[in-house]
Amino acid sequence: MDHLQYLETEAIEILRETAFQFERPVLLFSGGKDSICMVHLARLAFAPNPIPFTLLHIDTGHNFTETLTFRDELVHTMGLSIEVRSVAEAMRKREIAEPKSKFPSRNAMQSFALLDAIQELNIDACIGGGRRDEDKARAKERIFSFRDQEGTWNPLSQRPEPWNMLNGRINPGENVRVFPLSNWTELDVWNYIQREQIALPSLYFAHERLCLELPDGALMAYNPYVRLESTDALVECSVRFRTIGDMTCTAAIPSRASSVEEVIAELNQSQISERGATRLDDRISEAGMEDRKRQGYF
Amino acid sequence: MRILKVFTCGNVDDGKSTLLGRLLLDSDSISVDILHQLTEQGGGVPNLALLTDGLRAERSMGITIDVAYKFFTTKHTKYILVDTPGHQEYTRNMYAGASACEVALVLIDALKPIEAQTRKHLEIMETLGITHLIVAVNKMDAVDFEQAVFLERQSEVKAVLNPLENQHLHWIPISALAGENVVKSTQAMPWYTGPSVIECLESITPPTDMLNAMPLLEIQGIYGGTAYGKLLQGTIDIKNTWHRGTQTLGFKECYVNGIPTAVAAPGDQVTLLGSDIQILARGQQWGKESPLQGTEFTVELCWMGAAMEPGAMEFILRRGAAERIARIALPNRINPNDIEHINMSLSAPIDVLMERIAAKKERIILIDAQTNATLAAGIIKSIA
Repeated sequence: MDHLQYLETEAIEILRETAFQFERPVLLFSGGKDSICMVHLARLAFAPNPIPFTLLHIDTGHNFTETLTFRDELVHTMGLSIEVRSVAEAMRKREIAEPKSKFPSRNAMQSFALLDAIQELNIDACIGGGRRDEDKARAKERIFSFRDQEGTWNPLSQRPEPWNMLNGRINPGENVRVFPLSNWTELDVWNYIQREQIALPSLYFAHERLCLELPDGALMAYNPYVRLESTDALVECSVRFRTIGDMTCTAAIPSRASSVEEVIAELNQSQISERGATRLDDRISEAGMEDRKRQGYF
Repeated sequence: MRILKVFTCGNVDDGKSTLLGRLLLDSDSISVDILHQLTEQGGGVPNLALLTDGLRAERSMGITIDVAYKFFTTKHTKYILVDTPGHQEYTRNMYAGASACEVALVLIDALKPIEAQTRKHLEIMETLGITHLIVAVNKMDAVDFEQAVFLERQSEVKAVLNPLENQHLHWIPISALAGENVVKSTQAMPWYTGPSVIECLESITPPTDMLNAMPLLEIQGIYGGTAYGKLLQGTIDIKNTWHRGTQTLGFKECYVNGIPTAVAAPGDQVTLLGSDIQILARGQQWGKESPLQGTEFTVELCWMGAAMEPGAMEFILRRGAAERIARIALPNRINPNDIEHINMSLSAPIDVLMERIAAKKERIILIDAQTNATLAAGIIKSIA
């Protein structure tokens, strides 16, 4: 079995275990490449029957238009069902003010909308696209990752998964986060996209875009949510996005890679990690992801 | 590109996390931004252990508590590296991390005679049936790269090792800190002419799947009038007749990973359509010959929960997709990390094959019926 076939088979087994161990699982869909791959894998896992999961999009309101258009087309052409929940709404409910910073990211606040949705829809499992290669706290996480009634991850008392035996048993109010792509790397995802010819939003490929150039050289897409200052330099350049998150916290990278093949060639040359290259908010602290996950993040 | 799953183990402070860091660093698998961070934390030289010690508690205590998964690739292989803890207290995490791996990378400290915890790890490898062992004597830089020290540690390990049948043992003197014999071949130990750790890993061929074994299928579930399952061993020919007890059935269509096909290989996730699907249920095994149905088993358990006093007790047992109530009369107190042979009796039979028991392939977990925590993992040793 070659490595992509192995990873595909492993993900399909995890998706099937999720369908058969839980009553109301959802597939968290962000419009990024990992969640698009998961939809593809879910289709293969249950063919010829329809995907037995509803999609759940936690919408920060700061999405790129291309992402939302792609999402709606995918849902339509594949006949999927989707629930969309608003981060802005969850913030209003909790009287949390908008961040006042130059890049007012709602990224960390997604946890609130997610926890609300879990409660409202009585969700017992959330399938997420998290990968162990993304971050060192994620590298420690189980495939079936238990959350208590408060949605908290306790990294020091995780359920062991010998031989990848997945224990999804929970009591009412608890839930499990499921990570079928745990053992995939960014490059595995792209090689799989190439092998399976999976369509992606155009943001992933090189295009001309008006960007704000930060002092450290990072390029942010010019957008209505960023608070521009008079000294800011706007440049028009050929960029692509290595990850797709909010416009407020996802940096673009200079690129001329306009096809999947060219993206793979570019990644093979890249010296910078995926998150290091693109996520402003992940640079904040070493334990950033662990802390956020403890509080209910994806 | 193939996949190889490798875990590191050994006593605390033998340098497991450092070795993994070294493997990743010297194979150019660490991004410059991450390396920059590690170098800052190490005060000028990369602190390689911090690469895998990903939790706050681990960094503040300076030890590995739970398993970390890291990946790197060579031209032919994608490696899944599992960094497991060395502390006695976290032996259960080592057991769980090692369970699905094909190769053990055992670290021995050149500076000290081998200790109880290393013996425990070697015992667990025997329990799990891991057939490829690379024994790396680390910190050779601290003993002036002396061959005599390497040979002394080697004879200590040999004295406690009960080699399994078909086991492959490799002995390598290394310095994870200095990068000797991990990826790059050694300059400092001219007396050693064998492979480096990475060269050794590249040459390992894990045991092949059970292609020629009797076809055996496990049912994961039924959805939309369709059966979903896993081919545990053997191959599927759509014309096969499948047996379980006195029942038989055939299938009309088979899919592997979503693609219609007439054949499937061991490990494949299959989708099966036919007219008799309604007699199938989650957790059943169907074979070219019928599996046995057993209720009384002896299981070699690794205890992962809190200590348990002697007495009669019940747990939920999972074997593949099958769940049953398991009744145990615990003769003695069992402590976390203990490995014990325990007899159990199930509420209803599960399907098993004697060949799979002999091959250590009938694996179980025990779950607490109240908290749902996974309390133990084990391998069925015999059926009564």
